[in-house]
Amino acid sequence: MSNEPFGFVGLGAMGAPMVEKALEAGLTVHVFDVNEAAMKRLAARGAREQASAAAVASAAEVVFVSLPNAAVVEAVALGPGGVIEGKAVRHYIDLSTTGPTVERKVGEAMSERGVSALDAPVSGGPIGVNNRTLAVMAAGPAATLARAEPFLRAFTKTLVHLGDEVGKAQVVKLANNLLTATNMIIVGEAMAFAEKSGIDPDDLFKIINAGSGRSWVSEIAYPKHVVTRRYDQNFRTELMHKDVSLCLQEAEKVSVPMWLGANVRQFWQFAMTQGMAQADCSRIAPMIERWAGLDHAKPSSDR
Amino acid sequence: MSARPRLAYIGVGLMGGPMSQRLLSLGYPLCAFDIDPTRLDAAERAGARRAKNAVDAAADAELVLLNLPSGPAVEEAAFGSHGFAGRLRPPQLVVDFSTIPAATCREFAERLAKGSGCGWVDAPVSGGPVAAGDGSLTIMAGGSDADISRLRPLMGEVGQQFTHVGPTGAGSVAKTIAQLVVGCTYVVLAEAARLAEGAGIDPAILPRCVSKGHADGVLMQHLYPRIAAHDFAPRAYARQLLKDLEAVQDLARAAKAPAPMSGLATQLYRLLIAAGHSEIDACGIYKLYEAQPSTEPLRQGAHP
Repeated sequence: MSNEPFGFVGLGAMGAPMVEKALEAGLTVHVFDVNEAAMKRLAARGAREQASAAAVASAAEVVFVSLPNAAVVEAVALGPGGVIEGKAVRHYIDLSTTGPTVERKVGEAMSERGVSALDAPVSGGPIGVNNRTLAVMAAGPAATLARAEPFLRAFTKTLVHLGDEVGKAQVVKLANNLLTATNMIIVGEAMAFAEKSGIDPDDLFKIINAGSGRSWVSEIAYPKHVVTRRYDQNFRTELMHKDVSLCLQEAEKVSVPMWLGANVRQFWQFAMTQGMAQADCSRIAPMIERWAGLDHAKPSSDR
Repeated sequence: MSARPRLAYIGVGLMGGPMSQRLLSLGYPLCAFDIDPTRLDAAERAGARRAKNAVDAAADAELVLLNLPSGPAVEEAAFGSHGFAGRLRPPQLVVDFSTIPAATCREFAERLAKGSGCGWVDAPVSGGPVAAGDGSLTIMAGGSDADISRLRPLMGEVGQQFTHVGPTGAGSVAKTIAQLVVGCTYVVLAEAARLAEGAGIDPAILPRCVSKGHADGVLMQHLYPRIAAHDFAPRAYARQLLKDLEAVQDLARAAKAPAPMSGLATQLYRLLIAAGHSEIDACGIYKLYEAQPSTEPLRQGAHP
């Protein structure tokens, strides 16, 4: 099976570069997205266009999806024209962040049709895909992970199998994103504090990233997207809010109180009421700077 | 002491103005001082003797009443270059109606006691200018039993509800705790109005809905309607409520008591003021809940 075809549904900020990397690695990929332009761009690089998720799942035994939320995942997996209607599909791998509940539901429906489901959210963002340093956490049958691995290896550095129980990987992903969502805010507050006290952000991050305060947000997100004033983290504010909300919902189901987490969710909710739902999540940094009276940090319109 | 003790009244502004006028109308001999001459004009018109400064006002008063906006203002009146502290002698007694931190109040009381042996009663009030004018204030006081008994007749004239909380400083502690409840409630009521609007009911109907229920209260009946009507004309400034909430945080730190709710309310007021709204009414905290126009959307690589 050295060149077995793969299927991929969802060619967004994550999906598109993943497919690109797979194509670069010489793999055959059948693709579908409701956004035709996204599909055409990848077709120009060798991807095989299909007319629906079901068509993708009729062309490949191993089908990946990378989608924005639980409702879309459910529709694309189980709805009319969905993956479940495909004639070839044997392995279904969901790379989205949707929470364990929908993963379990889709996993059960798939297994009734003889399709093996793997819950495999990722961490590292589009940059992680492009640098082939993505982290993938997978929960589900080892055999399915083995079939998915040649594709995942095209952009993944860290691959952790969390056991057979579909949904567990989502728990890890939600915990991870809770931290990212929190760090995005708190690093912004630390930066505004330092800036207002006359400290150069470059110096600030040099120290933080050599010290105990460092995180992915301080090492990558702020230096690349905020300090440069480019605000191109490529992750929408409303998605950050969605991830924290999902995490809180799931935590509530297992009776885990989240004092700070609840406030983090409120912060992102507030950012959305400030007109930022569709904006890049890194734009919360200039919002915090404005509160601090740092005028130079007005939202840039440089793109 | 006569039935109507001679009074000095220092600070005849928003609260001190109506309180001193009420005392004058009840026949108290009263000498007033304020750093703002127009307020002093008003006091004089109401029958007060006009003093040149704090020490002049206090010279032959049995009770020295203060009603000032901040700790530093009280310090200036008592211990400043024209402060009354140096001239005061027992049984002259200081009664401070201002809202200042308990620790500051105790420090002033000790300084005065050391220098003169005079007593200091902190008696912060709650209820606003209207209640100050018609004698229906709620007063919480800290001081010695003897000083408090001496003040009871006067307190009965200006307040409907008078409580001796404990020694000097205890009144300010009680007032600070009352401000915790008031400050958080302002935010909560703004949140309620926003949610009513967002969830599609008439926000103005809420006080009627909850009347006599557990969500009812003075602020629900008298403050909330202004929030629902988006009427943020200043009666109590947002910056003043922030100061009160900051005093709550100081008190909680000193008492080693956790205060997450009021901590968040404090930050929300800081946000309101950072957004340029320090001079609107404190109930204008609602403005934080208003939706703002969209900023630049993320274009590149949108999700499917």
